[in-house]
Amino acid sequence: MQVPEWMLKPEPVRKWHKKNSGSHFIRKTMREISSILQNEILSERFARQGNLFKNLDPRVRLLTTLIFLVWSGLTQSPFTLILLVFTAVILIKFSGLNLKAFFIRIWLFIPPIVFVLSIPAATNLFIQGNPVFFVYKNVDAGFWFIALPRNLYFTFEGLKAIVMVTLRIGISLSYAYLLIMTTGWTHVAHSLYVLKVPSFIISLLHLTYRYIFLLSRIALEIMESAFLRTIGKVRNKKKRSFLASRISFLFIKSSYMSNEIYDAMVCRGYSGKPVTLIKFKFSLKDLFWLVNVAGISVILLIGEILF
Amino acid sequence: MDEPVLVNINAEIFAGERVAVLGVNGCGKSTLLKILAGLLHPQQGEFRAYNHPVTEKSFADDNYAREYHGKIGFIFQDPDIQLFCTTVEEEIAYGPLQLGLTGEEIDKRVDDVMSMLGITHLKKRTPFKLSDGEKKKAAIASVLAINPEVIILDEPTNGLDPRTQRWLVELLLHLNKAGKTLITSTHNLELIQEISDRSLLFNEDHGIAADRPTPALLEDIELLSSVNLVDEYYHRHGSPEHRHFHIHHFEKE
Repeated sequence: MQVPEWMLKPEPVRKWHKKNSGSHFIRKTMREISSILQNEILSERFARQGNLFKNLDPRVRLLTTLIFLVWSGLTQSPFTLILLVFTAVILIKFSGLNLKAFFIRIWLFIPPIVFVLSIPAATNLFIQGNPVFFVYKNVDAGFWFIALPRNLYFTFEGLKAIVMVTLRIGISLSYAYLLIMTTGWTHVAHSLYVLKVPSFIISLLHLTYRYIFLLSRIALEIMESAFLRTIGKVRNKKKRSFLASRISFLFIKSSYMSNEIYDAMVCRGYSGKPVTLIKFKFSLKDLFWLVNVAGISVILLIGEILF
Repeated sequence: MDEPVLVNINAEIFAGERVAVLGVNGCGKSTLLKILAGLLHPQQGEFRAYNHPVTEKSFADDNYAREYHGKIGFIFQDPDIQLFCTTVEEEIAYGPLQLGLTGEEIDKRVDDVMSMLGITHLKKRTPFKLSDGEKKKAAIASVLAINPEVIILDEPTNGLDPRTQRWLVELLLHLNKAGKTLITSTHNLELIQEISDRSLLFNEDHGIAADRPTPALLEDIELLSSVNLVDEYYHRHGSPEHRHFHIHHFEKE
């Protein structure tokens, strides 16, 4: 084995005259990935603690979530939706979850974006109805081949519709958050199976779940390895090409691994049916809870009829 | 964090040393190595390298980061992680390119390292499609091309066939002779007697149970078994030179 001449000498110090990169993007990416992983560990930890929602049979939790989701989808009344939001907040509070984290992760992110994006839909261009306020009145606004109406205004019906869409999305996310943060993945999968969801859908979800963590671990380690060999300011163009190449690498690797992961699962007897060590027990408190949910549903129904 | 990953770690490593970090799985070996490589930073206590405290803040200075990563090379346990370019050649050139070497110098480094490790035929191959042994060699080449003073190896012989393991031992001895400091984490007792003079032994409580010359540590079977690294079948035969896990010792010139 011939050791090259340059390897026998210490590496000369090369001064870098460029400006500092300020924020190190690889470091930032590493931190983001590890926070995703930590969140997962956190949610599994939450799921192990006993508290209101967490004390219920996972099947009852899933069923409750589904009932409220169906309600939010079917109702025509904003009051019902607001009641559902309150119910979610109360459940989250009494399940020992952090309300601030819940608001930041759920209500400050997707619902506001949806609301802003759907604002144009609230005008008389899309939904006819009673004017609430005018964008313009009596103007010949058409140009080129686009014919705009003489009056453009936001309608009461339009505004109501976009508020309802926003609330529905927020509610769906809230109950999904409640379920995921209080129920370990294997329990959710098993409950889906009990509720007769086709096993190939559960298999798909299983593989997706395993993948997310496996791939994020690999992504983190790739970032660490690149970080060790990356020095100095990285130009935006380079950042983009680095990220693109990492994504493509992960894609190739994942397609290769998908078979292996599945094979490894099959080798240990996986047949599409989710299994868990814990035996589900339907107890008196689950019954009491379901009666409770039925009660809330009746209140919602009365509200629906009255308003 | 509920449980600390490392507890009361006090150790100094000097230039040119060959140090093994020993311990059972999950004792904190990899975490210590990542701290040494500047990937993780201790929540308590201090880690100093080259007379300077190494903190997350210090890496905000690119000159410092560049110098640090140039001096300390890390060879990951899983070579797949380390190989992220489209060809082996690009992979090896990645580090020198970052260091700001000229095109000619880079070409020379790539060729030198490849011929040193005997992987010239892999130059245009995609790292992803190589065999495990070849991947390991490519990963090692990618770190050696930076010419680091300290080489950190995390479980280097994992997944390698006996012949490639021998090759790696020989390579490490050559590198040490060339003045490199070697820090190797392993639980392979066969390996450490050849690639280390000193060993840090971790206990299962994430602390250091012993910091001794490797031969003395391997003699202390009671200590090794107290940290669950060996069982009652571990023993030596007759003379200290002849152990039960016998392998040929590489002759240092």
